[in-house]
Amino acid sequence: MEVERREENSTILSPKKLTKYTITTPEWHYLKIKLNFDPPTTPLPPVSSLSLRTLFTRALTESFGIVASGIHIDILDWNGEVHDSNYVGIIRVQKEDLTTLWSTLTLFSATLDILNDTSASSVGTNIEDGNDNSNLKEVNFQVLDNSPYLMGLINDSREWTKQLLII
Amino acid sequence: MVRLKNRWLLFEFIFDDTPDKFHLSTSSSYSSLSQKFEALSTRDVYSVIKDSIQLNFGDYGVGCIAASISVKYFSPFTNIGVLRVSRDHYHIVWGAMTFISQIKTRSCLIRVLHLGGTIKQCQLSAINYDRDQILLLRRQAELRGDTKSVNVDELFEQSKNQIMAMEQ
Repeated sequence: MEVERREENSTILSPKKLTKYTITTPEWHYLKIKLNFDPPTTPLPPVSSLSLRTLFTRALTESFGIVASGIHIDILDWNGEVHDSNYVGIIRVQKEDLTTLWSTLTLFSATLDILNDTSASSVGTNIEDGNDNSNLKEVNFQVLDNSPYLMGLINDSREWTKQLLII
Repeated sequence: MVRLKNRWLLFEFIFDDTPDKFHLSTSSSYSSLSQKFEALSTRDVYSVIKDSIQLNFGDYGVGCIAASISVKYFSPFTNIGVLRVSRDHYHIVWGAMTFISQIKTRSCLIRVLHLGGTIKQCQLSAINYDRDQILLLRRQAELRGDTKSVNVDELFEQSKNQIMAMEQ
């Protein structure tokens, strides 16, 4: 009987074959971005993903020219379609375009006309002195997080330490 | 001492009327510039290239090359020019030149003939290119039966002097 048990044990402990994949150069880079309004008075206007794309193109053309405005940006998620949303989105770019896009987002600021529908045509209206400017809001981008993998954007460990400090 | 490395670009402007440029007028000039267009200066060439960089590569592009770009030589007769850029950013200038489609209301395109590390190489390349053009001119003149107007040796000498007189 003991012999049988040993044989049973030997089949349970037999090693399984493992397959290992190593990714050394990830192709894409993911950024979590936030659109800030200055001054942040309510109610904040809705910004469609088309307006967002127009803002990207305008920002890239200003800093890096036409050649950079052709950078492929995928808008994976965007929360800005309704009033007072949190204006946080997730975008994806090629790894080699990361520094160009990130520096552009950091440099960029523009004015958004909120009285009219914030469609692509109203993005970037210039503030003119002497006119009523209450409907114009300055916007800028803030890069909240970045990672070569989408899973990396789920959690931000800085949020955890904030909780600790409150206590 | 840190060495500032440069690249020297030899380029040529090609206009719509370029194939006719070797038709000589009665005043035996080196090659006839179509008299209806004004001659281009180095300043014109410099500004058109800088505008193209601003449009295609933005403030970043202009900032990269502004300190080092310089149009050293441009001959409005042959439309050949020599330009100096820093080695790290010569691709920005070359790319911007490719996108140029007009200068002072004349439609044109730019062809880069030589990229070198020293001005000497560009000068030699320019002399060789001019030599080919002069021989072509001579051939065209022969075909027209007009052998006296093109003095090959004199033209060689003229072009060589002009090119070697380029400042560093």
